[in-house]
Amino acid sequence: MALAFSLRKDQARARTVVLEATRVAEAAGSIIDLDSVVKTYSSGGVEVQALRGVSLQVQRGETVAIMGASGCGKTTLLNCMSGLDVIDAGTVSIAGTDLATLNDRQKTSYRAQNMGFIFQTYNLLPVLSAVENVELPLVVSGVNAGDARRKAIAALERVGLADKADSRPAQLSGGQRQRVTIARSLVNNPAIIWADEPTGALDSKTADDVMTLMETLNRDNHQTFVIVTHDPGVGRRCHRTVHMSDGLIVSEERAA
Amino acid sequence: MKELFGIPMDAIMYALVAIFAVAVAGVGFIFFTNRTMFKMGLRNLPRRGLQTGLVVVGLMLATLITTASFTTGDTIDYSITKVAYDVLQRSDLSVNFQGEDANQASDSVYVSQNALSTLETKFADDPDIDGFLPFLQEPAPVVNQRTRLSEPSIMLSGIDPQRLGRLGGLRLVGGGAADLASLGEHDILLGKKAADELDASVGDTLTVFVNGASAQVTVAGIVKDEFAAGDRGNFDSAGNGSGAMLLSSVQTLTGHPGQVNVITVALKGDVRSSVGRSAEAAARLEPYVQGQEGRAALGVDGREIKIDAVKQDSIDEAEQFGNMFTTFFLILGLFSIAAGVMLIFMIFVMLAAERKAEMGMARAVGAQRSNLVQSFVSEGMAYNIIAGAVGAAFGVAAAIGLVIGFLRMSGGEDFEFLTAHVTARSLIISYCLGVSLTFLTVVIASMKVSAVNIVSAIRGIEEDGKRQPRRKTSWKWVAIGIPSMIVPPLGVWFLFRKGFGLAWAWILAPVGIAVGVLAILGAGGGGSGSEFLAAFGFSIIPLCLAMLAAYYRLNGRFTWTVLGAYLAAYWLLPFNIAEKVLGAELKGDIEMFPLSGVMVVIAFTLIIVFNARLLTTLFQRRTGARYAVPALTGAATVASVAVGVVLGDTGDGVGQLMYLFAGLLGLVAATAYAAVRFPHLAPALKMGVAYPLSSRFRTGMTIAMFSLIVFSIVTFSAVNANFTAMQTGQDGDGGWDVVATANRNNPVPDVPAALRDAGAPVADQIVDAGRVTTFTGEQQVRIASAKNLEWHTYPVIAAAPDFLSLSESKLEARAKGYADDGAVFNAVRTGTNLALVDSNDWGPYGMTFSPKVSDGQFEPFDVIVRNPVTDARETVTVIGVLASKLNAEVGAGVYVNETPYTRVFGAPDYQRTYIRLQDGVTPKTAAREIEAALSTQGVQADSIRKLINDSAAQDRAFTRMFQGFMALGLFVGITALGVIAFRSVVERRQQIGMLRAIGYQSGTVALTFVLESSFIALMGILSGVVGGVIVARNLFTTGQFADEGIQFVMPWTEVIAFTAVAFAFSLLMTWLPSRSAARVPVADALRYE
Repeated sequence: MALAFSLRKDQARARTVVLEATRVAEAAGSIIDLDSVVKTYSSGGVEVQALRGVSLQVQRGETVAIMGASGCGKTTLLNCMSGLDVIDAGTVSIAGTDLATLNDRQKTSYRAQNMGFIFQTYNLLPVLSAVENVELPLVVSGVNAGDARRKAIAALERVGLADKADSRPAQLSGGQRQRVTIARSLVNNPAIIWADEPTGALDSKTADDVMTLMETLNRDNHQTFVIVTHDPGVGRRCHRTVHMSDGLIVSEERAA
Repeated sequence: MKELFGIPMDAIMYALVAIFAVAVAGVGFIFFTNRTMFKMGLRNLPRRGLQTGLVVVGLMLATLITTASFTTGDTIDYSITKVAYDVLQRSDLSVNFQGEDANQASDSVYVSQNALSTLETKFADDPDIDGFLPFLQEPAPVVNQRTRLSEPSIMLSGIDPQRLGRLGGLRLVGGGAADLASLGEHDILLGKKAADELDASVGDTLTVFVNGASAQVTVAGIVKDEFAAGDRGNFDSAGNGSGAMLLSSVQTLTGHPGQVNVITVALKGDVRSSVGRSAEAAARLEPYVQGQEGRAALGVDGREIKIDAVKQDSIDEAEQFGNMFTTFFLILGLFSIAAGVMLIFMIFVMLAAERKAEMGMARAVGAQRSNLVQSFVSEGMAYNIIAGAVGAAFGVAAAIGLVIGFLRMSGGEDFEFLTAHVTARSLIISYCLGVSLTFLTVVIASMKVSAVNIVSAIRGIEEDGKRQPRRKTSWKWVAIGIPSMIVPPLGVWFLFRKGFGLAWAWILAPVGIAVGVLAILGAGGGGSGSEFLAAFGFSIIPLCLAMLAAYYRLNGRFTWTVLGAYLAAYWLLPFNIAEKVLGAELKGDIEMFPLSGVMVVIAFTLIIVFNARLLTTLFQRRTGARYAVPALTGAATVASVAVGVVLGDTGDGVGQLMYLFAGLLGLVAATAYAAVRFPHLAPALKMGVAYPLSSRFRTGMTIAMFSLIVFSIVTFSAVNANFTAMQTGQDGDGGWDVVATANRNNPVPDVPAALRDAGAPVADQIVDAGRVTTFTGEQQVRIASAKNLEWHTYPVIAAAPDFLSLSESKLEARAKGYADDGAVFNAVRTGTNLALVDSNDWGPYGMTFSPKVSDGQFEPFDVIVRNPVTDARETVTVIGVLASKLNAEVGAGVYVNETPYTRVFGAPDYQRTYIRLQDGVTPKTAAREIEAALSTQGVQADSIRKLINDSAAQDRAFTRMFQGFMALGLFVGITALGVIAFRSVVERRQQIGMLRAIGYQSGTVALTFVLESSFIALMGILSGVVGGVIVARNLFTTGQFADEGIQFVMPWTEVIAFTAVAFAFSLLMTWLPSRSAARVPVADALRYE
């Protein structure tokens, strides 16, 4: 009970922060704001600077592709922007809130309510059905059981998998699994969806379907997508492509 | 100990050292021939410190259990031997005039002390005999005039100071030897025990009462309790102390001038070394005392005189006790050892899973499968060497702490003689056995895990699970395999697997089926061990068939569930399927316990791992009546409890099964309620069940480990509780409250009258008194129908009419044809040659007979009672079994009326009186008052209920010790949970990252892992409890016990407390990995591959 109470308190605090931040951000126009972000890893006793002072703004409703060679810092940047990783210097603000001001609990609640994640390897829980996987973020956000199930089914309908709601991940194809991941990422109607190589494990036809789905969601829901990818085709379908090299943003290009 | 399971300990040690040497040499060979693989194995050790610690704990279990078993045996052996030497000192042999159980006899045989001179002259030049020691040992009540403390029965030992002085003398408690030469006519050297009881010190005056007269003696010194001073050693429960006086003084006091009743022989050498001469000396002495000349010298005729090698016998007995303990502990330890072997196997399978990619890579670059085996074996041996040493140390500690400490703590004075001891040989055996067993398991596990599909291993994907193809025949291996059949497992492997290339399923299944068929055929004729053979056969054959079905990819869930259900039915149904199929009565013993445990555990584990996923439906989201499942299961729980309460302990244990069922339903109801009430926990609950079941092998192994240990402890608890209930039940006192026993030197023919004469108020509280005789030492019996014509020394008791005419006396069973217990008592009192027998196991007296009782009735049977001195005999018909549960020393006997007794043994001398008190009188207080009132007549009085409870308490102390020992095995299950939890955290790092990314708080992630471990522990514990309760219930509600009308009881408080502790420790063990799962940095976890 103590845990549940504590969770609700964090959720309430996170919600207040977000409402306030969203108001400020809407006024400012950008939803993600990075300023001189530095991230250093220690690997085998050797310090590796993965991000060397990255600054980036992402507008609300924008789709941004982050591209670059392996090891250039794309995933690290995404992790730092989404609050999954902590930064060593600089600031990351989401909707006007500096993530450094939130503790782990608040950040976690914040993610549950405002962010969606799509991973290359899907990261679905193999022991849960598709619909149970999708409703996970709602369950931890304290949404009641009936509403959570309804929203999860709706999310699956949006990705065209309502008929597979009770299937386990092992019973789905790679494309279907990724669509379940997308459904999970959008079930809580987040402002931002982070995608790390969402098409990396898919064949070109399925990858195309997944990208079309994300474009539709972006267009219909006005959700912001930040996508880390190696695939130039994915980059071309985003509003903006950011190129990275050695922990720095080296160029940007906007879709025509 | 010299032997174990009939094999000399030295031979066992040499064999195990040889196996150990082979194992070490094997690893040495790897070191010299393939150092890369050796290093690869060894360098894994420091990779994960905590995990290495857990592996060592897991691997040490076998050594710990064996070391603890041997240490216990050594301790018992050493302690009893030490007592024997301490007590007997220079008395190596004893001239026995009274048959096998002379020690327990109330009568004595007296011979002239002049016989000593004859014996000394005759054996003056004997190479082994140093001298003869005469004693006159007589019990008498003693009062210390200073402290007014009294003892009803002190054994006065009349000694010959010259002879005893020459052969060791008596040792003073404060050190040094007692001055026997200056011992006066009215002096006594009081034994320590008696001095403590009387609170006596040197110079005190004691009054000794014999035959109505009294004498004053002065305490001249306090000596150690030893035989020469009258002490009979630690196991003489009636011994209340002793004291040595001059032989002439005791002769005068007791009215046996010039007589002795004990002659012992001192052999050449010191206290310890002389024992080696026992056999040779006895071989020369016995023919003499049994011959005409010897009989004339001793003045005994017609008696069967023997020479007892008392010291050697005590040492042999010590060896036997030690051996018995070691064997029993090893058998009980089999559960833990089996669980330990499973853990070792699982650990290596999991280590291999963790290193699958490395192994695939090694194979890809050219490493042979045998190289991987070498690497694992090197690693395993390194763990093993450390674990063996740690296990041996912990084994000694466990034996000392658990066994000796526990027994001393719970058993008090009775176990004070225990001194911790372990021999180097035992340590070597334990270490080598543990290490060899572990090594063998590691080799087999390594061979299994080294078979990896290179591509699957490197890519980290599941193997396709195609069935093992048959290989080409290798005639080279066929040729090697045929002679290798000398060692069957090796021969089978070489010939069929490596030679003919058959799949393992096609090797093991036919072999198993053949063995099973042979076992069933062997059991068909009944006889000893037949139940084990039949049960083994009827269990192994379906197991082998399932193995073949699995090989041909028949639906796994169906196959293994059917097998599990079959095994559960075979082992848990309340009738013996094998007996019905074979149409023969099968006989089984303690060996059925481990077999039933293993089979029940296999059955439940299979059913659980293939079907427990159904439990996840409890956590499904439902629309509408969300509380339907918790409500229904809750209602069923209440209903089950109600039925249990109604049935209670009556019926055939169904009430207890209802409680069990209620417990299980209650858990389901609580879990279902939690899932509905706290919906955010539902996914965690579901994952808690689903994740473990996605790795059936390791989950099944861990469940089995828990289950095996819990099963053994629960069964033991239930058996203990039911035996205690039988022993201490309402009828256990046989309808009597107090038993009062006089001694031969102070006969008290009528205790109530003596009490009235003494003016004791307790006399008015006596309602009834019934007199019986005591064991005279020369009484033998034989079952008339027995094929074996051997006579057994067994008490034959004459019961006075007052004992046989009391309406409240109770029987446990009566012969057919008698309307009630009263009719039986009446028939024995007035009839001709009818008898009652006690309900004790006749085993201690060398008899294994007990009547077959059905519905409290049995067919009457004849027993022949005999006086070995005169060869007089009578055949009596047993028509009742007494309900009294007094221990054998007091209660055992064939009870007849005066007529047949007089014909065989002469006129009865009633020395024991059973007393029934008025309602509301406390037997313990009454017994104390009786003893105090008749203290000068040496009457010992005890509350019967207290005697029974004391005896039960001692049994309980042993049972608790065994349970504690078995509980050591829980370490295995708990360690396995820890290993699994650590592994799960590593395996699921990415999923942990994902859960944290989408909003799972760290606490919820930790909870998920705790729930998983809880599920495994709970399944193991519950299946063990269910199996244990049902097996125990079947044991007590079918067959012999059911016929005796036993009410099955379950010690639920004990079971619940024990399982709760086991569960709590399990959670504690998984707390660390769960916490580490919760603390995984999200970004690192997502990056992890």
